[in-house]
Amino acid sequence: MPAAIGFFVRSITALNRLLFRFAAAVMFVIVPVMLYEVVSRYLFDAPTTWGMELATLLFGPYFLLGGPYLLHLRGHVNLDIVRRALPARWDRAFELANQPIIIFFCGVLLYYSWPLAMQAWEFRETSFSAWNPPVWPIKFAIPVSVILLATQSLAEFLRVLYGDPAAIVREAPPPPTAT
Amino acid sequence: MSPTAILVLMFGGLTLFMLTGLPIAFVLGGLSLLFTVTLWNADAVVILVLQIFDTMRSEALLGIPLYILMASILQRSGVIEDLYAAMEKWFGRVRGGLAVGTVVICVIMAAMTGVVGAAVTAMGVLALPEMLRRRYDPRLATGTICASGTLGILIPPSILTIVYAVTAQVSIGKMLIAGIVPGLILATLYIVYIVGASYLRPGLVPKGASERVPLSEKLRSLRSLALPAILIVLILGSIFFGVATPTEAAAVGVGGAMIAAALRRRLTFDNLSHSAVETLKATSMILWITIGAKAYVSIFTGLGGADTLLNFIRGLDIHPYMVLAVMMLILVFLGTVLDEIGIILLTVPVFLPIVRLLGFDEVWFGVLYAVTIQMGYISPPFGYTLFYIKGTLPPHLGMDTVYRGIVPFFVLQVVGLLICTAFPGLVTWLPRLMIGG
Repeated sequence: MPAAIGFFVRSITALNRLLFRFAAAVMFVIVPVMLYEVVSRYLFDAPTTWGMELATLLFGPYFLLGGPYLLHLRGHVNLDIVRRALPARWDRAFELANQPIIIFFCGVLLYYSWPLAMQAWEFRETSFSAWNPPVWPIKFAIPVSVILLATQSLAEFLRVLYGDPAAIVREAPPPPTAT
Repeated sequence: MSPTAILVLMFGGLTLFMLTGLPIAFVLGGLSLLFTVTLWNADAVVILVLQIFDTMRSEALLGIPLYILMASILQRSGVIEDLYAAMEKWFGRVRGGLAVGTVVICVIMAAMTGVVGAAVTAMGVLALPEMLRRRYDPRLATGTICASGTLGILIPPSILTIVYAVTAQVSIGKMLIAGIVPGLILATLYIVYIVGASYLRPGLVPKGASERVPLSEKLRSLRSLALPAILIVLILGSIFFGVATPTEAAAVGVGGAMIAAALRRRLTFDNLSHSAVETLKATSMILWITIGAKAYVSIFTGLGGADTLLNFIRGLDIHPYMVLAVMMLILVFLGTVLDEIGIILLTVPVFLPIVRLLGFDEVWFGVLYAVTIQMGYISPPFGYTLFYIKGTLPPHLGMDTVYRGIVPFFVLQVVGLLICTAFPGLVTWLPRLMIGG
């Protein structure tokens, strides 16, 4: 692998890993916020205007930003009956054919979500609820996460192309014990 | 190109790329968008993006990571170990008792958490070695663990039920509560089978042995039930009486799980960060599939796929129960090859209009769905529980033992499915009693 490409692959993977860890930690904001809301509503009969809305606003970026690094971890569930039955050299061909589909998927979503996000920014869109927070940052979560996912997919493509032995996973990791 | 031709082409493409091992989320999303922008109506993507915004702010779906986090924290809290110890004291001396006790613990865990993996892994680590040491038949031991673990799908709270309810647009609370009775029926079937088999087929389990446990010790062990009982009452109670939404109940559950972990000095930074990472992995996987599935559903219904299918079934002129049986068979078949969340997101939008056309109850259908999904979870070679238990098997046991052990329980699932189909009242009774709903 040429040094520049190796650097690109390592940087994007590191960036997405960082964002993944950051997103994972968001749960420890969502839970206290919701507990505060539940306690104040049911125990003190004083619901907040912001509790539930803040929790749901964080939810979107939370799971979207987990996606790119999950691709690196091979954590997106797939069907591997055929793969396991075929000799290992087929994996390379499959990977090289599959990653461009992911990039295409991201490209289409980016093309259509970017104008909506820009529009929300121009109008400084808010949610029109009692709390009325700005919602335009949330709208950028889709374009940003598909850009990151496409870049990670490109990195995975390059790893396979330049024969990184770790890029092809024969035995998919077991499904997370949490499902 | 005619809409039907596009749909046929798309299904071909989906199958092909599914087989190449492209993640399901991107098979669905990528190919649907490809066909949408090239052969159908590119503006439909704008609607899709708006739907993704809705998904991102869905209070119902926010319940998914919360229930997963709760299960993950509980799994590391030591609660399950204590439950197991109590079970061994109470059931250890009865013939087949450890297997029966495993079913009971799995029911309790199913009512505490909404996931399957935690119960199967925990029982694989705790109950399996003890059963093997006491010369239980390894097939019975592994079959019991795999099958009982899947009760988490039926008994509320349940991640898969939430996914179903959101996709089918039925009341999440009702859907969750509807799973209680069928879940208990299945657990009873397992227990009856275990007890029956252990008396009829000597050698399957030991005759019941080991020392007597004094009653005082037995009673003391019940303390371990206190926290699970509180959590179950809190979560199920608030859903049933409509006090809080399932999502709010889940947040309280996470709080409870943290307290449980803290009481046992297990609330460490390491455990929490592991739990958080596991939770994000599972949630992100589920929600990205949801996005892909939305793209697929929009082109499927947009091209009139649903209408074509409905007209076809109207024209068939066969008994509604035949149609139902065919749908169930398709689900069981898909369950052996495909991921369960993918199955729900793919088939519910196709099947639900049919169910409505035939005049079946949607909540009842959802329960039948859950039972067949359970069968997918235990059916070789790709059932999830098989992956979970694989990691806990001692070296002398191979997966063929597990595969054979599963067979009787698979048959019991079919019996359970038939019971729920024949007596819809068993399913619909509890949700009708709910307040508000």
